[in-house]
Amino acid sequence: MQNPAHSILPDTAMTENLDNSEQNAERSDDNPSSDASPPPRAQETTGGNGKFITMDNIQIYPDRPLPRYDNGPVKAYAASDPKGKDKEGYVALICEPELVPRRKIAPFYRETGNTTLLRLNKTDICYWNQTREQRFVFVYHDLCEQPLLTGNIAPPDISFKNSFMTELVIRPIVSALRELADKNMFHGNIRPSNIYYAKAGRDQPVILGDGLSLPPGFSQPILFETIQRSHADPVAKGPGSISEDLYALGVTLATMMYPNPKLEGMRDEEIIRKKVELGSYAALTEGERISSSHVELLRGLLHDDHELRWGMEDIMGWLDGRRLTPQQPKKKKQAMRTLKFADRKYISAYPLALDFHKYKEEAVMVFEDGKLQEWLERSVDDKEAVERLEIAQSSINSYDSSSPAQKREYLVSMVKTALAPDLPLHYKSLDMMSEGIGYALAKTFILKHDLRPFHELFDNKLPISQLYMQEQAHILPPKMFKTFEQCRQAVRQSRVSEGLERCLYMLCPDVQCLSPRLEGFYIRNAGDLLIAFETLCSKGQAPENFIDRHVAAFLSVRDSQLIDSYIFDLNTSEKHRLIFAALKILAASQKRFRLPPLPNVAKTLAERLAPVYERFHDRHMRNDIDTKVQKAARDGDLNGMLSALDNAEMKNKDFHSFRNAMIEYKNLSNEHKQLTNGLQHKATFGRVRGHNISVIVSAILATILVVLVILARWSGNSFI
Amino acid sequence: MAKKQKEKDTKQAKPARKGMGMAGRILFIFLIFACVLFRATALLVCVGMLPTIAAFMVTSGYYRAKAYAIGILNFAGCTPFILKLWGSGNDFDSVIDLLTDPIVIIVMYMSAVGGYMLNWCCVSFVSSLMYEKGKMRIKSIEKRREELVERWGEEVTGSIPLDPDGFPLESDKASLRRKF
Repeated sequence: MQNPAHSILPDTAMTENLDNSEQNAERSDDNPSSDASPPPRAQETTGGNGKFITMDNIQIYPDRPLPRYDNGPVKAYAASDPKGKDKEGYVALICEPELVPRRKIAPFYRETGNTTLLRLNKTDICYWNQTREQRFVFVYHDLCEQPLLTGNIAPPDISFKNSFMTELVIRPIVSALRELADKNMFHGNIRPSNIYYAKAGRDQPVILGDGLSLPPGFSQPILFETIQRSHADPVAKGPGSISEDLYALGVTLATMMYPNPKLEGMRDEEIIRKKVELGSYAALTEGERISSSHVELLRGLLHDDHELRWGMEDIMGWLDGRRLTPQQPKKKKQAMRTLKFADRKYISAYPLALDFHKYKEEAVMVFEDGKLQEWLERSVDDKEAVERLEIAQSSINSYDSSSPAQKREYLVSMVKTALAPDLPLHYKSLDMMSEGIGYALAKTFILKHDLRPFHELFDNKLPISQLYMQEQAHILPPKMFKTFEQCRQAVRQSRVSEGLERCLYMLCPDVQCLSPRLEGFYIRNAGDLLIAFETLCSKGQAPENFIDRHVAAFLSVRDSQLIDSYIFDLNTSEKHRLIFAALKILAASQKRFRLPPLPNVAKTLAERLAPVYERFHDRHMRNDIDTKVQKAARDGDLNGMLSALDNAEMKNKDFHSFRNAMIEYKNLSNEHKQLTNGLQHKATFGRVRGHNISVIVSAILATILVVLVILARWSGNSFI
Repeated sequence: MAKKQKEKDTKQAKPARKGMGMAGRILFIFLIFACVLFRATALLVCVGMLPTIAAFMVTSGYYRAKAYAIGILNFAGCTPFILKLWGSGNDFDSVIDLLTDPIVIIVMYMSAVGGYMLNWCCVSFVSSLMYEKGKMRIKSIEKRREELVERWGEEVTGSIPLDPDGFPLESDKASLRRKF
């Protein structure tokens, strides 16, 4: 079946033209109260006999892939601007629909203007012929040659000199990272295969590749992730901090300058275990002779303790020639005796936490028979962990579920969080960093996987518990208490605009509207939404309900002014309220985004307005309104339709006239009843009046007679 | 049982008898005095108005109007002879002369018959006229009611439960749709 988005690109390809102002794009997306400019329209979808896809002024060539720019599943293609002055050409990264790109930070990324960062030209939507759907596209300037490495670790035949690395790699990349840090941005994709040699004539020798086209850190190999992030599902790593970028830089340097051949071909689990057991620095540089000039740098950057890892100040100092000694890692609390768990012996809580969810039956047993608490108290002597475990214990005791399997999952999650609060939140098969939950939820929604784990997660306050335990463990948690509490409230409500859909849009600001009726479209805001509806309506595929659960939640989170006044109406079963609320929301969107006429949406709405007309008592008024609405609908003017219907004076007049008509009807009915009763007795009907009239007539006649008699006698003519 | 009910209805239909009012009493006393003063005239009137007296005796309620109609014309029929009596001395002999004249009696009594006929004609005419008018009015009411229903819907009849805005409640709306 042909995707409805097909052939509608001229209407839907809206450009976030970064050349105008990235802030404009942000305004139209995030701050709808500001003046949103109308989305520009692409002139055509395809051209050159289908050899390229046109996206505003950019032409993308699907038959000319540029694999060196590929970012995991996101493929890169050559692009050009035939009318532009830039002769270097462009590269277009076509995002995958289920992997939400970081489009909200794109404007800020471009503002940095750092020459070591791949220069972003624009972000946009295009109709991707191969999959027959709209895709989000990042268009970068094509400034790069090959990456420094095609793999993660430098092969033995390639060696990078220290001076090259310091001056031509470390310095420019640190400057780029500093600019990103200033804007509180996380790159998340620093690795040798994403650092490119710049083309000849560039200011910088190397260029750091794309980090926006996928969820944060999605394509980053485990090797380049900190121990904490490496445990999260790739999609659920969430945006990290500059500290994680610097760690990735440290791994990059280590794998390029001192490649450890043992790491090559090692499975992810083994890499993580090695990092946990030896520490990242030792695991990466095992057996390598490190140059004295780089020992401090690598030790500082590869510190596993987030607080002790080198920050931007430290690395800048190192680049300036100051010799700094990285702080020694805090000694981990080790037990006096080991704890046997799933046939393995554990000497500290952290490795136990890493394996705790893998053996759930044993996990329940070791917790419920009190061995774990006893071990933590007596052998490890970790009072904070014991405190957290007590919190978990009280939560588990008060947890009410009829399903033992569910209770087991809850127990494992809580205990694991208590043992290592900085690890990703584990629940069932999910492992997610707090800020990555939204991306994981988006992927689950798009792929139509089971959403129940997320529902249970929020309902059981697991993310809140984790943040609370992080606070207890003096780990600075992301400021998400309020958001997760709102999510918990949302999943407990079945109203339109609530539920998991609301959680999705609250937790993942980058995600497009995922309404099932809008599959194939990429909806960033209410303007996109209307244009998608216009296309669907023009093809006779108008959705039964324009404002479904997804659309309502999406607008409520992103553009609450458009919809929040009508949430009550959207949750009633009264059709007139539903359709009128939809009209109001769509009309407000048309006005807000200054959209051109939408005759097909207007026509579809006009056909469904019968229940709204029925809210006028006067049929004549209904006809008048219908005439006005149909005229506005022909013009595609939703606001015209709305103003024809939403007139308080008219409604007032209608109500009062109806009340008078009711009184008149009642009076007529009473009269009718009286007359009908009277007419049933034909013999007596009207007799009283007849008698009265006869008296009057006889009186008149008698008077005339008497007068005549008197006159006759007076005149002397006595006739009797 | 039905008979009893009918009797009861008849009793209810009869106007309650009232005692003579103050004005009636004054009038009655005045008439007594007039009769004493104008004995001859009073005799003529009493004999001439016998049909009226009979009519008043047999009618009650709104039928009393018939007696009035008879009485008024009966009196008009007596008037020439009263004038004649007054012109011939207003004594008993003259009255006897008049009362023994069959023409006088015929004229006076025929005027009463005229009153009766006039009443009959008027009642028949007016009641049939009003009956037809009533039928026309019913048609006009029905037409107007249809117009009101057509313009304002079935809810204008007040026969279906309405919400505060005057619209049928949802459950009734469904039944309305089935009906119309």
